Amino acid sequence: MQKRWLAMLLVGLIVGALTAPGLAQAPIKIGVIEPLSGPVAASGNYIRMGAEIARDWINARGGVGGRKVELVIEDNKSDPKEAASAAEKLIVRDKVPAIMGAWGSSMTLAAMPKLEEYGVPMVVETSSAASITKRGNPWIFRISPPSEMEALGLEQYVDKLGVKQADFLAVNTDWGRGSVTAFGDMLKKKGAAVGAAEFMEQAATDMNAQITKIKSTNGDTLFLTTAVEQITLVLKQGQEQRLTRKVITTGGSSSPSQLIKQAGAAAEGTYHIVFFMPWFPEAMPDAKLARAFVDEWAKRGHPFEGLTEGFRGHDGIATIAEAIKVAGKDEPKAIQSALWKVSLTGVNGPIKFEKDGPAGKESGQSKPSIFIVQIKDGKVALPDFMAKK
Amino acid sequence: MDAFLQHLVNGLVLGGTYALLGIGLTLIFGLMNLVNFAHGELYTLGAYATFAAVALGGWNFFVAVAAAIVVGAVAGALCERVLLAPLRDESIDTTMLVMIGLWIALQNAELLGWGGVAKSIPHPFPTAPLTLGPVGIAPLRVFVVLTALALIGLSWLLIQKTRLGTAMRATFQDRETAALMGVKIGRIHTATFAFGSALAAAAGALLGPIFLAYPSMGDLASLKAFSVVILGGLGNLAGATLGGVLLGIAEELGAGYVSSGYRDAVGFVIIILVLLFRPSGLFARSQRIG
Amino acid sequence: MRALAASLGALALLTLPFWLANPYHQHVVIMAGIFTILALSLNLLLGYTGQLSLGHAGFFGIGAYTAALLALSWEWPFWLTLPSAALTAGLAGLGIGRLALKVRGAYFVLVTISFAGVISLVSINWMELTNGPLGLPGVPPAELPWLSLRTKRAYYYLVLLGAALTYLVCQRVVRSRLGRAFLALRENEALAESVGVDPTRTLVAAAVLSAAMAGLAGGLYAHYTRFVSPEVFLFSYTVTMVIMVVAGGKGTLAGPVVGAVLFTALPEALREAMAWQWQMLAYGVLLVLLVFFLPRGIVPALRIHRVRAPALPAPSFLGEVSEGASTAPSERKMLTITDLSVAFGGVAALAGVSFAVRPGTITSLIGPNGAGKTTAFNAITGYLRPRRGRVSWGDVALTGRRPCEVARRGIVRTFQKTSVFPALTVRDNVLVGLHLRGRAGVLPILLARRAVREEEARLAAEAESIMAGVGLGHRRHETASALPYGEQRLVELAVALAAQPRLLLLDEPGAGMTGGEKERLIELIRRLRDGGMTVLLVEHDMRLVMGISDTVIVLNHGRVIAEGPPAAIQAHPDVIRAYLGAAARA
Repeated sequence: MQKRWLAMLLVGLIVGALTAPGLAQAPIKIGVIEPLSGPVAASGNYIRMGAEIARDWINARGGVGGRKVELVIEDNKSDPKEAASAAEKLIVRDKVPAIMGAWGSSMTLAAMPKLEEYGVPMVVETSSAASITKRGNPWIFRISPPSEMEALGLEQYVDKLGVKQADFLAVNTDWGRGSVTAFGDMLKKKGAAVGAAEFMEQAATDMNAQITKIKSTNGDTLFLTTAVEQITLVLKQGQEQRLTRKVITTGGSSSPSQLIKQAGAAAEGTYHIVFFMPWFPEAMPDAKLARAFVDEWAKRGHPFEGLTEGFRGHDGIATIAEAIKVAGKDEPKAIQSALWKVSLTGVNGPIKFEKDGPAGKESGQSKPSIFIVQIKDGKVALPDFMAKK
Repeated sequence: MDAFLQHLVNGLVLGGTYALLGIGLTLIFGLMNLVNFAHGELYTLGAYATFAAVALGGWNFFVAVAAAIVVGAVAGALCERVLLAPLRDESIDTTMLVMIGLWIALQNAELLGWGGVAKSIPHPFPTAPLTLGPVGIAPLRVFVVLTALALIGLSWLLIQKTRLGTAMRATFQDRETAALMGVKIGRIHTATFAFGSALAAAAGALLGPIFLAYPSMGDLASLKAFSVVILGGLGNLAGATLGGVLLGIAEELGAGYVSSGYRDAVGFVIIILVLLFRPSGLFARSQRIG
Repeated sequence: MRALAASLGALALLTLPFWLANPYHQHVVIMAGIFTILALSLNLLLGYTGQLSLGHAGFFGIGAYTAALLALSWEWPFWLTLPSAALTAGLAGLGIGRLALKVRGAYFVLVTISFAGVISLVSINWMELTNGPLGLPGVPPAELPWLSLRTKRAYYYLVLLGAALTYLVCQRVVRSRLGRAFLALRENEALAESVGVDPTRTLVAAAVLSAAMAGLAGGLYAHYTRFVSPEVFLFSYTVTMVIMVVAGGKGTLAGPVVGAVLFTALPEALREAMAWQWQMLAYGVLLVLLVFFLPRGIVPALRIHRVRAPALPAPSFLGEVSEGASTAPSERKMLTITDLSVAFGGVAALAGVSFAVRPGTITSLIGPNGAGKTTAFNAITGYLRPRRGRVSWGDVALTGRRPCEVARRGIVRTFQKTSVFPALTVRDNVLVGLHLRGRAGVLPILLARRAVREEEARLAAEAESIMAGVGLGHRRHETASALPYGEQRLVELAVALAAQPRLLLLDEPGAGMTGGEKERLIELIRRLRDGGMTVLLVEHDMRLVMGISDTVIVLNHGRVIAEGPPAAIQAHPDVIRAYLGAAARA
């Protein structure tokens, strides 16, 4: 008997929670979909932190059109199904007029039909798959570079880096696979040889097999594409196996500060493509903004190594807020048209959308700034060839 | 050839770590007939305990590892007393579900407590590899494999040679008879689970410094541990050890010579093949039908 | 009352999208429907056959990819892609079932995990087919020539139809001869085999059905989310299904449905109720609490206790042997055992045993403990593969045949340790015994053909007459495990008799019976023989043996040391020595 009551109570609680009335209509809402739990939780949380800084700054300046900005944050658990559910929930239940998300490309791709269904724009802050802006979804506005764009950004430095033959080690996801293709194509165009292309599962911790295999090629450079945890492991295990290669990490998530802390000497000499250089805010396009962001981040006690990821959150929210300001109202359709008109400078640099994809249904793609840093003597430095400039 | 030797050594070392993961689970799974999905979380607990003691508390690395093992044992005992003891007569699916719930809850509690950023655990070993001809191996890994072997040996002695071990084996073979013989069944269950958990925590404490400590680190560990247990035969310590080494070498060679994208598939295929041809594990002796 | 509740429920389901106008809620309901199908499919394996598949996301993913690829590459309409999704997954289920069901329990769990792991890696690495980790975006929405199912409301009805269909299939299967075979295998595989249930075929059938349902869910998912990526194989999907089935109540029809709805709604409810960092933690804690307080699941806890049939006064024990059991089999064949040898490790349990059992007689096999009596039973009925020698029934060789094949030839055994299907009612126990008397196959069962219904009625009537025959009629709705020991032995006998054996092998039927009960047992065995049945008996009670046997065979140390009528055996010097020696050693 007691058990029946308990069962009913539990069922009742859950049903009650589901049907509970939503919160009262609040200020301007912006939806955020990030992987806040699961294997890439760290990255998702940094972006959330950056987004919160942007929100607080905007509100401190009096909000948008006199209204405060509120973030409605959802966890996509690194699962496309959850990303689609979260988008649906944000749009329908929270009635957000715009969304920032959804980190990984497969999450973004899964959320995209929902944007089309309800007509709500989404600013894509991290995803790198080329197909996102090529699918003819006019609600997509990307501020992160697709792998191809990143590869083009590196092209001018290939000779200076002295890449003759390159090997690849990448996480076995859309991002890793896309990166290998994009950088491989770029290198071939530049006349460099491409050797081994090895992959590792997202959760893998032991990469010795891949490293041993790469060691047996005659390459001089290793392109490494994965999250910072796996980069740490690859560098450490590479050191154990005395792998002597020039290492270049791609994707901008490599967080060199964290590598110095966790991989130590193994990280020495490695190059990293980043989209934000918190070590040299003065070298960023908007030095003042960059400096302020770094200071605010430190003031909040967020870890320094999260900055290379966290700025995306700031830029994404800043972009949406700017669009709402341009539109003059927080309606999805108006924000979508306004996004085409925005021109602002984020932490990364200028943000301005250009058309990409099939005519008539173009998505927006901004052309972000791309930087290279090197770890020298346990510190992050500009590579010689850039410092000279 | 040099690459092959290096693959082989890599595989052996990796296999040693798999064996360490597997032995704790083989006791819990094999003796208690409990599909312990929370095993990986005790592994995570061991790694975080070591991190807390070394990086935050400034303890000596070896003392920290020992402390982590104790933490694992206490946590295991607590979990058995509170959650499993009341459900002892329920079906295997029910207890499995409790462990699934615990797994989800613990992992997210860890995420909440430690944040998602991976922690690197400092250790006193030099990073320069020991070299033997063409083959290199990190000193820390040598230490881990040797410790793992020692722990496996100790566990074997405990199970085979002590009164507690005898009582454990008796309990899980025939609970009623063991109870009649005066064995305190409840205590044996708690002891077994605590022991298995301590071994998981030991694996976490030892492997944490090689890899990194992060909340979802236990998922892969659980999967590998289950594979090792099945390969070796339920409750078979020697089998788990050999199964671990076999799995390590197979994955390593598969990744090296087949395709690194299919690295984990090599392990899966071996499991499938082994189960089809030796259904009770590679190292099980044939048993008489009751 | 029940009918009213059912029609109200149906009405609520049919009108749901009209009073649930919020598309987000409709989305949750559609996902709940898809997961209902998945939970029902997993329940068929886990709840009914007792085999836990932790690779179910594999079948789900195969369905999703099949539908997506057919729709994208060949532009098939969804009314073709959906059945194809179910079919492909079903085929995968056939393959996996064939391979994996050689092993059981934990080993089966791991084979299925490995299967899903391999499939998932193939989907990631086979870029040409699956587009790898990028997944397949742009799966077309469901469209019929005259009807678009683009809207949530329309899709809801499609999913509802799928879920209802799945439920119906599960219901029909579970309440059929096939479903009883599932349960019998879950409860007691050896006993099920002894009355002719073929474990491999039955379990493979369950795997195929279950996989096909999961594939259907995958197809529905693909056309709904319109994006398929390797994450459909995520282990967490399988874990979610297991949670739904076990928390809802495995082995019940309503359990998975309740579980699926609840555990699709729960994460969404938690989204509403608290900040993201607490959601999964709360989910885990709630799950632990739920299982802790309702270990058998929600539905069994809510279920009102079954109305018991009034306890009738027990009729006279073994009052009358049923018609069914005593029908004289027309064939009269001789069981011949030649040079039968079985060894465990290096120890010979049977060393060249030869004897024959004449048709229509009662033959007893006696001997001290460890003489090899039960081993002989196991070797005759296919539970053990002899090292040497042959067993034949008339001119048919039995050696090397599986127990269910032996049973199909009319040779049925009982077990030394009391062996029933513990969680089944007495009636269902007997109905399993009648397994070989029915012939309904999967397809007719699914279509609920008239022949199937007639057969069910016939079997039910036979079961009644058998229960009455052994004096268990008043216990028909009670769970076998709840009966006292003596009555459990009767259930066991009833199960064996239901299989209508021509040769009945009884392993210590009198063990644990009182004097009076034994008298009636003797009477029953005699009557069976008089009805034309051949009986081979292992028994320790010498009074019983000598009282009814036509022939007695004495085994010692795996060899036949004497054979003859009871009187001759009682005086046989070797026999006396064997028993005294055994007694002296003991």
